[in-house]
Amino acid sequence: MLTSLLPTGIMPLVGTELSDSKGMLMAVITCSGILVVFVILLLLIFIFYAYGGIIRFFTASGEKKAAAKKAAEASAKSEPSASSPLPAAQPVQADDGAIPGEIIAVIAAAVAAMSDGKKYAIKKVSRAQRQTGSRSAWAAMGIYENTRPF
Amino acid sequence: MEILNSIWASILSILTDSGLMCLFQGDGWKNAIMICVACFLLYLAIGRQFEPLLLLPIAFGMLLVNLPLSGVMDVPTTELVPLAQASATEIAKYGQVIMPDGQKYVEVAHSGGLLYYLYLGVKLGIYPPLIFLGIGAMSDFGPLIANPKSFILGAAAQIGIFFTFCGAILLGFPSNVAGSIAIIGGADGPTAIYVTSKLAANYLGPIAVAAYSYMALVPIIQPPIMRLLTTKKERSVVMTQLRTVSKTEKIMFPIIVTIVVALLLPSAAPLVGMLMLGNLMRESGVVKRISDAAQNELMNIVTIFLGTTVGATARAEVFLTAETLMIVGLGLAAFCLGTAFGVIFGKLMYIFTGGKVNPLIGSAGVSAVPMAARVSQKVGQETNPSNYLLMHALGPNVAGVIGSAVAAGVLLAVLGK
Repeated sequence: MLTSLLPTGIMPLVGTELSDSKGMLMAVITCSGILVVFVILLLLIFIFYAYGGIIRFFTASGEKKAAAKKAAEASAKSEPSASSPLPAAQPVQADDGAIPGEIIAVIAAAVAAMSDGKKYAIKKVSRAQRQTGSRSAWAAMGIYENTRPF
Repeated sequence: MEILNSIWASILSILTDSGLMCLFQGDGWKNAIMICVACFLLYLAIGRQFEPLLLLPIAFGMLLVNLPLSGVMDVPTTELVPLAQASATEIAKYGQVIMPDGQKYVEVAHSGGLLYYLYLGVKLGIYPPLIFLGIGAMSDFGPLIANPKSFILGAAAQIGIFFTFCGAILLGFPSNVAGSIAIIGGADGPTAIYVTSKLAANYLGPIAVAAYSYMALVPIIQPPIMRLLTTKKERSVVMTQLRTVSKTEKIMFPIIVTIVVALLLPSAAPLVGMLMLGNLMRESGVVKRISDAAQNELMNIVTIFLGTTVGATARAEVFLTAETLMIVGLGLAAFCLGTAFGVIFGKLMYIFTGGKVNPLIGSAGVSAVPMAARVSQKVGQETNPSNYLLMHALGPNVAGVIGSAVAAGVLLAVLGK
């Protein structure tokens, strides 16, 4: 494939050691080599940007659909009790649907374990906002562990 | 007294026929030097732990082949013995051959050395792709998929290969040998061995030793070049966290890369194909047993065979030449150039992205997974202790593996005719 891309006059130079053709051989192999390596890897960049975009688009639309479905289900459930008095315990409010119920239950259990018998109500569970580019202490520790030999 | 003389004569005969005496006859001193070189490499592997998994078998193979009369790399031969002189066992085993002159002979076969047969895996280009299979099964291309721009750095670090090719030609090496020397700049041992076995098998010993030596010396060679080409401000850039890559993306990656590379550059298909097969086995999650075998048992077995037999090609008469010194020098130049071009392209990315890319990750484009990425991490942390470049450097690092395989494909396509 590659050799067919090269000018036909170049192939006879390969393997020859005549001093007048050395410069030509060096120029051809250097230029064509760098060009081919860059073209192939640039093509892969283009493909994976496009592919990553497509995957993210479908993932995002899937998540939107799931969130809309969940919201519809939640509103359908709350409708019958809309006229009744407020319940004794308010449901915990999560700031987005991505925090699973099990995580909230674990957080509630941890708070209960630390409360020394006092009663607390968890009103909201939200993800801690981290500065872009920084890592959690756990992630940083993990990387540190892996790179410590250096 | 006669008995004592006979014993003495017998001992002298054993000594005369021993390998020890061969060290003091003819070019035997060259073997003695090579034995010292092998012992020094063994010290580096064991005492200093420089790439011990490879350097240890390479050094031991070198030691074995340079022990006179060991015969570990002897080529199998056949000998025509006149029928009258052949033993009954030989006649029964090998049969008779009637030559055109009407004489009857027995064609007695002499087996080759153990390492000669194992070396066929190198000569026929079998081991390097198998190593790539294991590397693929061990590699996580996630950082590269999350940031495909890393491919540029993997390509940039291959530029050194082609400039070194020019240097080798100017020093008078034939084009096929120049290509084999230049590929050292890819900092990828199996690739260097694969290309050399196809283009210039006679130079396998010096080229493999040079390639693996520089890979072991990555933490020493790269940092000064990285510091020289970057400012403190550039080195302290903290890069944003990479996005999460889905399983589907990771599964599709090896398939797409194989199709694209093999269609455009078929000569790179054995290396890239096996690399991607190993990765697909890992990411698909459906062949965990095979993936584990490729990462562990197969990788270890092939490493033993490859290392020992490549070391065994470093015979004194091939290794102790001025050409070896030139190969070592050119290999160093190729490696330094690869690092420098990687960092320079990293600087370009720093400029074009408005300071979002740390140029230090460019040096990881020279393959040598994961050591080159660790060096980027280490040099980055020297300037900014809270900076973690490792994951960002792994992108160019694995791109460098693909890039060096593509560069190898280019050299094979053009020079392997």
